[in-house]
Amino acid sequence: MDYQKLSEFRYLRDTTITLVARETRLSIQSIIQFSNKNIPRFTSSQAVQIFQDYFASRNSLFSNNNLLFPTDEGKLLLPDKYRQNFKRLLSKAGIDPLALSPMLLTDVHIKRILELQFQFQRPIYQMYLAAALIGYQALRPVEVAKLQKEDIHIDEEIIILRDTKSREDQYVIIYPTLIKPLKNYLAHIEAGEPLFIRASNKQWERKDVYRAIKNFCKHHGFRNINPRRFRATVATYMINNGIPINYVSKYLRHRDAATTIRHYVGVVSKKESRHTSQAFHSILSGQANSYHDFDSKQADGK
Amino acid sequence: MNINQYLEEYPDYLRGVRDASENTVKEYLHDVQRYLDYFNSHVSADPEKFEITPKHLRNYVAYLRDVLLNDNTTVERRFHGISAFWQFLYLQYDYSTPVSLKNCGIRNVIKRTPTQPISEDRYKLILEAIDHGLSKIK
Repeated sequence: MDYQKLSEFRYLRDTTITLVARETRLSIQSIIQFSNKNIPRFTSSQAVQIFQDYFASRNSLFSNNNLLFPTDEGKLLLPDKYRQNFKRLLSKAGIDPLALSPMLLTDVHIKRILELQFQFQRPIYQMYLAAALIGYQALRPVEVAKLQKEDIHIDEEIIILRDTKSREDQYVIIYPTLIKPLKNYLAHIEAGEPLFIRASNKQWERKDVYRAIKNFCKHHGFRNINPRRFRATVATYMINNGIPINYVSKYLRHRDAATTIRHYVGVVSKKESRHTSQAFHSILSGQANSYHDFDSKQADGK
Repeated sequence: MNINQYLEEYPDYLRGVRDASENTVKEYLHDVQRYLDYFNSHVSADPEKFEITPKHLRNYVAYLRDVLLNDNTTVERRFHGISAFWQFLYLQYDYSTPVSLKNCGIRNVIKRTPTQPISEDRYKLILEAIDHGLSKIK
């Protein structure tokens, strides 16, 4: 099972049980025996949101389980195990775990526990953001790994890339669907912090981007995909769909459009050479007067 | 020639004159070091007797291919650093004129296969999965 998903699941489960205990004053013993049909009622919107997140996470991992709060193995969670997890949760949130039960937690305590959510979700967010920056923006892996919070200018919708392959700073326009998630993600990050970090808090390196793409593909069942292929795909997709080569070149940040032609136009030649062969045949056999004539006849035929 | 002294100056030449990146400096130094290791073990371990000649390079390439089983891409990579070093010696210390791999009589054909793009249908599916993941970022 996916470790990242499981880690997020555990946090959401233990936080939800804590919130249920705090709001309903029910004993832990009875809460952990809730079935799927015992949907607790919350008074605070924060608790509702956490429960929704928990429910989605639980359903993705244990869709056929009747227990609302199962263990990692899908079994009944024991009260002692919950208490152990609860203490760990408080400790992570910087709250003294001694002599505290869920019922005694203040709003400030709850706020600090809820702020932990991002820490557990961050590896998954990072994976999708890295995939998006490579899949949409055609960034190079090392460029993704080096990004800092200050490099993303949401208001101007640009990303500044430092020390790129050409050893100069470059900018890219943020792809429209990336603006909102990037904005949301950046809200959780401190100034001066790298965009992508490892569990050890160290900034990502190129290999971490490869690892993230590998995990993304594994998670979604895509095979034989690596970051390099994304850049080639973006270029080919653009060229195939009629975007002028100088625009594609600018998008890929090639200094010279010849680089784009050399690396990516050749790649589309299988499709184009078939088209060229058919055009040549049409011209030779008198079915078309010129390539443009053939092209327009083809378009009409479609 | 005292190879050790030149090896100390070589990184500065790469950075200052050839405007090489740190990765290039590291790789080129490694290439020269590999050649030096070969030279020490197969020709002479005396640093004063170190030299780069077409004959030694031919033997070195044969060693890379036959003993280390390097493919042509690696052979070409190894040669880049040595060529730059030879050029450095030629420019700074009036060493013999550098000779290209081809002019050393070495045949080294590399078939370059461009990175294959993902099919459009598959690419769209991947983007859908990315969008779905991005929508969860709150």
